[in-house]
Amino acid sequence: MESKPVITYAGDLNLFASLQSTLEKRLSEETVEWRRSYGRSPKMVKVEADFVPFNEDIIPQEGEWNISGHPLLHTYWTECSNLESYKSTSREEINAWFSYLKLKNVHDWMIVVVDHADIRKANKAKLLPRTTVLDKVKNDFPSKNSERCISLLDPLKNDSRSRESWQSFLHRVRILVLQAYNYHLGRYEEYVRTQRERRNEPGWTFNRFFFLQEELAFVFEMLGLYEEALVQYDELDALFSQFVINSNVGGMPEWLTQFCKPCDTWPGLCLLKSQALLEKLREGKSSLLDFRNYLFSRQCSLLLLRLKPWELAQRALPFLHNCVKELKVLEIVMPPGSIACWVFLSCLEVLQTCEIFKESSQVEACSLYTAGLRSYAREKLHELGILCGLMPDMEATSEQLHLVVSLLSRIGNDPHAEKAPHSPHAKLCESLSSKEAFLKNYLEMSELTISTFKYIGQVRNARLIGYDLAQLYLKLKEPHKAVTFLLDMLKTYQQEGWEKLQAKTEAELAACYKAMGNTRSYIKFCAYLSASSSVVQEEKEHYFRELITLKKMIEKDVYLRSYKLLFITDVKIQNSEVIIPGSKIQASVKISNLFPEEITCNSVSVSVVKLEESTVQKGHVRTTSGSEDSIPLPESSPDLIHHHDGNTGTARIHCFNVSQVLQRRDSHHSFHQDSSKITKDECEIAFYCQNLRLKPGDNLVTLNVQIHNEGVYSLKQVSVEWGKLWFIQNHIIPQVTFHVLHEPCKMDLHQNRGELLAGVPQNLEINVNSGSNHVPPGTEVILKSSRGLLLSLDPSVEDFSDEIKVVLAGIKPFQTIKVTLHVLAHLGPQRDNNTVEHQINLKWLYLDQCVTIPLHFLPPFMSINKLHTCEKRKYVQIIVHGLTSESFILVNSSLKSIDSKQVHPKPLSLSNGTLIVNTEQTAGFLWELRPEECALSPIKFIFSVDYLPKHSDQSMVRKYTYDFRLDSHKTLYVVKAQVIPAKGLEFCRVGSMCNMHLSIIQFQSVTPNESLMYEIVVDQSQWAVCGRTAGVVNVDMTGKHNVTLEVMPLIGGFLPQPVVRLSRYIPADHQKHFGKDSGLRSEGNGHSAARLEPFKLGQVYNYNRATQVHVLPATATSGIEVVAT
Amino acid sequence: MAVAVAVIGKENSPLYVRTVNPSSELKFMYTIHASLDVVEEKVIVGKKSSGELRELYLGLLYPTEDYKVYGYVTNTRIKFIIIVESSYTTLRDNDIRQMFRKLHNAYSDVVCNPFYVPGDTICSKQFESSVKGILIQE
Amino acid sequence: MADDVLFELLHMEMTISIFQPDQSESKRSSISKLEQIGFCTGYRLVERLTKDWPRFKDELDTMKFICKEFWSCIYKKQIDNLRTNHQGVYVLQDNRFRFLTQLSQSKQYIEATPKYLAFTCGVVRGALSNLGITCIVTAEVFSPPTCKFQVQVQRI
Repeated sequence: MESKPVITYAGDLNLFASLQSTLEKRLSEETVEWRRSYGRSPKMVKVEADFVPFNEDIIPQEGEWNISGHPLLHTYWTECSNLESYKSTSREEINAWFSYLKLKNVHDWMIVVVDHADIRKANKAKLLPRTTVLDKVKNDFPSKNSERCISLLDPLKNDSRSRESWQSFLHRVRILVLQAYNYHLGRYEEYVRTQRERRNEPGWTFNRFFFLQEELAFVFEMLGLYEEALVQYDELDALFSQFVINSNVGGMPEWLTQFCKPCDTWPGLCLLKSQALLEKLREGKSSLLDFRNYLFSRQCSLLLLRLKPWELAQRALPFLHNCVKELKVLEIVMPPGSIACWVFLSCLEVLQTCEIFKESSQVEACSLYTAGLRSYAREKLHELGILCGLMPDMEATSEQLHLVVSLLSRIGNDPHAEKAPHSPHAKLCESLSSKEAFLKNYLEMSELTISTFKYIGQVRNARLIGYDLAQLYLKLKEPHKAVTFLLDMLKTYQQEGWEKLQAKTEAELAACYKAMGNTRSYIKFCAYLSASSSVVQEEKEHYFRELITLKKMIEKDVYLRSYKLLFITDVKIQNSEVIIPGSKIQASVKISNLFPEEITCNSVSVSVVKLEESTVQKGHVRTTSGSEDSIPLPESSPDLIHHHDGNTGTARIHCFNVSQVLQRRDSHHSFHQDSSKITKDECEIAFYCQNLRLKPGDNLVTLNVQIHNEGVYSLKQVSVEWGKLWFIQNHIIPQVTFHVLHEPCKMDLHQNRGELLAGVPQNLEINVNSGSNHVPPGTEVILKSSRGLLLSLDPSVEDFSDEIKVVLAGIKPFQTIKVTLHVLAHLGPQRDNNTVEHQINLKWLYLDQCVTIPLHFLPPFMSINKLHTCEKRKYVQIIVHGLTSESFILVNSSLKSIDSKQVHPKPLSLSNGTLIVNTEQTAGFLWELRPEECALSPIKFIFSVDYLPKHSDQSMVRKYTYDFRLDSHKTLYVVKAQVIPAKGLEFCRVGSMCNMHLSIIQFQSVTPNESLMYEIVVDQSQWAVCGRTAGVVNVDMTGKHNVTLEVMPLIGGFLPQPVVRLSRYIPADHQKHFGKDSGLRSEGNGHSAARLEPFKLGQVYNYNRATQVHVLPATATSGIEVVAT
Repeated sequence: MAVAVAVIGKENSPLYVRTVNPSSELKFMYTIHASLDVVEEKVIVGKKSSGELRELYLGLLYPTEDYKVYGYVTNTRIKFIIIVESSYTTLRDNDIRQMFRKLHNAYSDVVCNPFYVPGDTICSKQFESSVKGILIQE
Repeated sequence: MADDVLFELLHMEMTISIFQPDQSESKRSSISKLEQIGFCTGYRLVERLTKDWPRFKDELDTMKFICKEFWSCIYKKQIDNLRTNHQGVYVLQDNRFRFLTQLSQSKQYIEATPKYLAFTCGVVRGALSNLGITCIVTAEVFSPPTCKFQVQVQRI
């Protein structure tokens, strides 16, 4: 089997012997590229060889077909170093060898000339030969395209020349060996092909062909081309299978009958090298199983050489299935159980081999296929268990014991005897030895299979094996163990909606629970089964009867999922009106009863849960129920709108709820819930109804609830009570929600026109909105106004008061009624345009709530007073500014002094003339006070005028009063000032000094020896004051004081004359004395600095106010002109 | 020819299961259900093999001693399963493909029926007759 | 060809009869309604169109199918430009969208165009949904008859 290619050697045998070991060793050291014929891709291969001496018999005769042991290359070795000896002896010898080869038509030869440098040196004395021996040899023995004559330099030395020489020599040998292979293999393959073509001819036998092609496999294996070796076996495998299949339809060739003999041994597959099998095969005595075992073991060993243990497992299952099929097709007689034994042994053999060879990185790949193998082995063990009476519910008969003995006796010797008790043989023997051992091994294998399936994610297959285990546990009378497996299965089937399998599993679970005496669980499954659509009617009725019987026996409540039993399929809220707290809410509910008979349930309730504010706002709640989609949409559909953006000039379809639609959802939710997790929610609010008869099929029921708090409510859990049984439905889909609206009563005031005006009676509307309340007729609202605001209900009568009571007619929820109100805000003396702030308190007796409504009244006008002086005479002016666009008519103005009877201002304007004010128009009134009426003490005045909105009748006339005070305003001093050009000049000129004569005249002596201070106030860009700008004077007895100052104009033109400001001067020590009057006391008491006190308005009259001085430019020399304007 | 034909929905629920012999329906259902494991394994995205396996026909899923289970997954993740007896040796791969093709055509006709809601179990006479053509006539 | 026109006319009549331009609230739902019709159509249609199609390699492969074969089947032309950010957003641009070509060639009535895209948005969403891609499809018209459909895919 392991024959290496043969290379012969001839010539100098001693020389070769000295080199043989090195040659053998080094030949396989390096790989060389093998270029193949027929366009096959080149491969890197290692060349190994056996060297044998050449003799004439070694060359195969024509028609002998084998490759291994066939000499591939013939070598001739010579040491001849001089041409003479070559010519005389060597050439002849070589020629003899060469011509023999020629004769035999062998072209794979090689002549090696070993060249020793020292020998050459010895010859050096002679003339350098023109040609070497090698050249001569080449010349004498020409080869077509490859160098077949080669020299080897100093092979026994270890210098670089020698190494180089070896290198190229070895390379050449390898190339030549492969060339020879190419030639021989090509011929051989051709031969194999022709043999295959003849497969349908009589006399062709598969056996012979098998060995023919296997030869190829050996060669490839030897060359390390495992892939191609495998191909040979695969081809043989396929060819054989095809024969078997064809035998079924066509005739059976003679050779196949050999395999069809009854099979009396069934040794398992053995992946160790088995010469015995090969021998058996050679002798043509092998059975189908033997052949298959051998073929597969060869395939496996090649796969292992390719380091692909998982492929072993992958191929094993189809191989086993195929064998079993072939046994059937060929109708090979085998005793019962024998195939199972063979399969079991073979499975374990492959599994164990995989275990040994697999690397950690291949665990997954291996498990993927070993799972199936394990499952198959387990199945076969199960089969054997039944056959041999080893199942827990069986007792083995003597026949069965016999069977075990005969089965085990034909499985041959254990090839892995050293590994017992873990070898497949030992396992099988042990398993069949006793019931206990069988059970142990079977359980062990099952668990291992389940875990392997789970490991590769094939849960369904794992469940299926769990199912077998459950059956076993039932036979063992251990239903509680079976239940775990069955529940797992049930869950899987439920989740994926396999109703028939679900029903089947439920029935099995029911049986388990019944056996366990677990009534509570049993009753659940009775319920499920009696309502299942996948159970036939009689069984449904049977379970329903069980249910009725058991229902009376249970003591504690049992909760059941209601889906597909008694469940709500549709809910509609019946209320057509807005639901307010306290209204009776009616829900029309469709309950589907899937039980075969009518039931009378004690109560039906649907809990109601108030939704969180946040979820409501996010728009997760859809108030509409019922789905319009015909396609089940796991996602909520997008809300789209038509959107046109004028700015960018695009029109779009836009989606609002992107994040909601694209939200990740749990893959499984809703109905399919584990039955053990069903609990009844405690809920305060629920739609409720008692004693309902529910017929099979749909029942329409009306449920009621009353809710006292506002909010968005959602219908949640449905619970139907039937004796001690509770049917719980956790969700109603689609979600049903309703709003309970609570809105407080609302009142607001509404004015008809834009602004409210003070001082004018106006209408206001009170809007009373009942919100979500019923307001009974006769409900009172009390309105209370702030001070200065008067209210009245009846506009025709001027019956204002600050508190009124409104009696309302009855109001339905969400209705608004209006009450008209009459208001009048007092208009007091109005010195600015600030609005008048008022408020009205509405007191709502019905609900005990109070509303305060602020109101702003705009004054129609405002008034200011002014005092004008002319020497001793005084004038009082009142200006009335209109503040609204609406015009007001003012009549009957008057000004009176309040405290002084002597003061009678003399009106200068028409006292009963009519004036109109609005925002555009202002009214002015003027009175004169004679000097004797002026006083040193303050006088209070009151101004009054009648006003009337322009577009209203005379009856609306109201009086406006405005009071003010005039302080001491009698003229005390008069100031006269005059700017006079410098002497000799007629006009003031820029840059020339002018005199300013100032005279202060006292009119009224208030205090003796009063000190006064004058100040010249100038615009410094126009005037420069030279010398003093201020001075303190005492007005003497004459009542007059004159001062002359110097001023200089800085620019030309009509300049305002410098202003003289007169103040009262209070010396430091008189501070306290005057401080009282002035009211301008300095903060620090200890301060004794002198200070100034201004005079009050009207106390000083300045003659020269607004006087201008004509100033000429500097160059001109004209006089001064004083111009008063 | 086939002994059982099944159409499995997106979420692995059975949309249609028909067997030659109604009494063996349950048995085949277990097999069909278990074979979904292999279907999933073959079409799981992100697995190396899925890149190569772009054909809708998945080939042999699940050989057992007696039956061969073949699978086919549409682009819309609808799975078709066909079970044939292993003893039926003359059946070639192409015949199986042909059966699936027929089944797929029939299924897409069902989906285009406005009265059929995708995801529901299939009850259509036309579909039924297509399936009958695939099943062995006893 | 008459049968091509039939589809266009049918689509136009459907759009007009379902679309209610007045109230903003009903406008929103009428667009959604059109989209819903498209969804069901696309969902069923794609079952048939992918019948002879090899399994899609990935999301992009599916999108390419939508742009080429799927579009050709419905609109007798392919999408002119497909762009993606490789993070689940695809923009499909059709330079001569069939439902717009007969409608307007200028921007004048641009605000009336989106309703003619709603059905198509749904068709694409339905097709992708059946192919296992959950997404939202929106559309934009900037210069009729060119329009863009944006597909935003649910990321896991």
